[in-house]
Amino acid sequence: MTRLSRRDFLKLAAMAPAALAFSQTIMPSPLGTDSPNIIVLVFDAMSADNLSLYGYPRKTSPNFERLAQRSTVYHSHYSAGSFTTSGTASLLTGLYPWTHRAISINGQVAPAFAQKNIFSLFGKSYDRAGFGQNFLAELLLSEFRSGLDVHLSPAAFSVRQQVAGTFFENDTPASYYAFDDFLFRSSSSPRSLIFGLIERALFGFRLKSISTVGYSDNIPHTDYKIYYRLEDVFRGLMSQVNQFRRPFLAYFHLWSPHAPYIPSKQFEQLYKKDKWAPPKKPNHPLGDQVSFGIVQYQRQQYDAYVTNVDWEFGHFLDALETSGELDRTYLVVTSDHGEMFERGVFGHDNPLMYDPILHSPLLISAPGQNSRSDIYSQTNSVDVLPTLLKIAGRDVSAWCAGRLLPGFGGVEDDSRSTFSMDAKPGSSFGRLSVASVAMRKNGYKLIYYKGYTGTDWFELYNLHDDPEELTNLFNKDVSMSNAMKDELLTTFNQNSGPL
Amino acid sequence: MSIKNKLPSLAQVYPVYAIIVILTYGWTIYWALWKLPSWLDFLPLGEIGVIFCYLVATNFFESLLALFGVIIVSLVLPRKWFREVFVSRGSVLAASILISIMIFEYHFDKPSDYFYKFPSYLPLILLIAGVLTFLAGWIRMIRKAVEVFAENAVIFLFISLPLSLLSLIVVIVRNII
Repeated sequence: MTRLSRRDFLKLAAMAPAALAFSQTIMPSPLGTDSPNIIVLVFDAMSADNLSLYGYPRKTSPNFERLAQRSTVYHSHYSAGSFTTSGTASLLTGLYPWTHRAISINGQVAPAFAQKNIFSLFGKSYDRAGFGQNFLAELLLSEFRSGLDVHLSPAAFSVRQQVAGTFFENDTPASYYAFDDFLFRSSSSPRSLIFGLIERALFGFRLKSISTVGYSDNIPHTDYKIYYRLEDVFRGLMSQVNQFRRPFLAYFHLWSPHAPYIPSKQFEQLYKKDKWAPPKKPNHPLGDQVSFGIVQYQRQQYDAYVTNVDWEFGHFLDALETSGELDRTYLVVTSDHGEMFERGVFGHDNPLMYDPILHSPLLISAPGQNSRSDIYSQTNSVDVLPTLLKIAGRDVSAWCAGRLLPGFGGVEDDSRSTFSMDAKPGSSFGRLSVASVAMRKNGYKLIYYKGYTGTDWFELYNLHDDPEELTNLFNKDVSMSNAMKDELLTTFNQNSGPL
Repeated sequence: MSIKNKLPSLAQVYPVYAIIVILTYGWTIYWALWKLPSWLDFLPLGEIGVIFCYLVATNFFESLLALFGVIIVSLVLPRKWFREVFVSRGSVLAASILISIMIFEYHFDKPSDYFYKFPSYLPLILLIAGVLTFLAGWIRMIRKAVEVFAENAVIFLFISLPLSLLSLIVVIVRNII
């Protein structure tokens, strides 16, 4: 063995501080604490109704089913909001939309509640990371950024992106609103006469060089000029997980399977020839009145895309298992809202409150868990925050609208009333004069449509006997209707006043 | 002939710049007023003010870019053709190109349109702009009318320049702090 000279020893000693600093930047610190790591993985617009995990006839989610074998699976979990802003805000604050008031597209949580977000509540002892590939989720993360230690750009892990607001990272979301949602908004003409022309021509040029290998036409992309491959996103997220300081809380909000539905070639033909068709339902007056054929085609595309997302998620799951991360981490898999393919509607940009748009997957895999547990009683996305706070040993605050989830300190209780709401057309600050609200209790669901037409109306469904929500019982089961109507109106009127 | 002789005087530049300001700022403000009710639904007034600062600061730089383009034309073309009738020909050149871009942008929104279609429209835009610019210096009545309009438009600079300066300060401060 070569002996170490005094000169070599001094050289090594001089390198020691640099080596120490380097190790701290790329290596996670050892698990010196009992607090568990938590990964919250949100799939945008993933409806539980379209997952085979929850009984959907198409085999769309084999990897979700694999995770389910070591998770608590919630079968009646509903989002409090019907689109990204309201659904995500409820998930991250534990408040119903009428309280947090992130109810407009691009909206944010009211200042009074902005600090009551999951990141701030976890505190500095956790390494807190946020990634919102959906711009609407990113707006909320920007609002909560004082609670984030790692704030990933919405364009992280992308193949091509042109998000101007990220150049002004100290002043998001104002810069996002100005540039990405207005001056250079991709779905409308540029609002900047000269720079808009240059920006769009440049992006047209850059899009030309995207490789579409593995896809028929285009690779997946968001509404805001972010083009990506699912495998890159999951690989990037795994690499981030390896770098976080322990313990960590990571919130990863993925765009997929949100529209446009772009499955890879491997998946796009998957359901084109199967004979399965869902029950036909009457068009809804507040729906888009799209033909059944078009809705069916969109459903087929969506199902193929969900299967593609599940397949890539499987690789992420493999990586978590192989690295042993799953044995020391809570993995929470859910969505911010669902997606609807019935009643003349596809997508979720509508005021309807049917289950496909609100029924969200929720699986929680605890560290080292190796058996499956199923919870059938109703839960709501506002319950996720208090449950995670409890897991992390934090106090569950009284202001929170949610309860502890069954299996994590909570009890199964179907007599509890839970709510979902949409109020996009109105002001976040004023009285909620145009809104749709769904209340669930004892297996019934009451839907209230307020202010959309001259007359407000209600629909009542018995979810046990009529899970497809085909028979409106509002004028038939009068006692149940009146009891639920009184409770819904009382709660709504208490909460719908101006801020 | 030296470059300095081909450069327009400040008194000539202001009216041309005013025309550019009306069109560039006007386009953005027009659309912003359409968007305003939506912003009022979920943003506090202060935040909307900040967004307007970003818009105005962007307009300021793009208006300078357009002015720079007109001055380059003045440097390239013979003095008699452009520099001596800078206000009328510069104003019409800037206005005709900017209005052509407006029409294009109003009708097209896909990035591929801007990459593939705009270059094919460009010769037509330049031809129209060239003809109008020529006429603006050649026909005395048009020249006078354009000069009167452009010189009166200078009043907008008394609003746009301080507003742009203030907006720039707001943007810089918010990104430093």
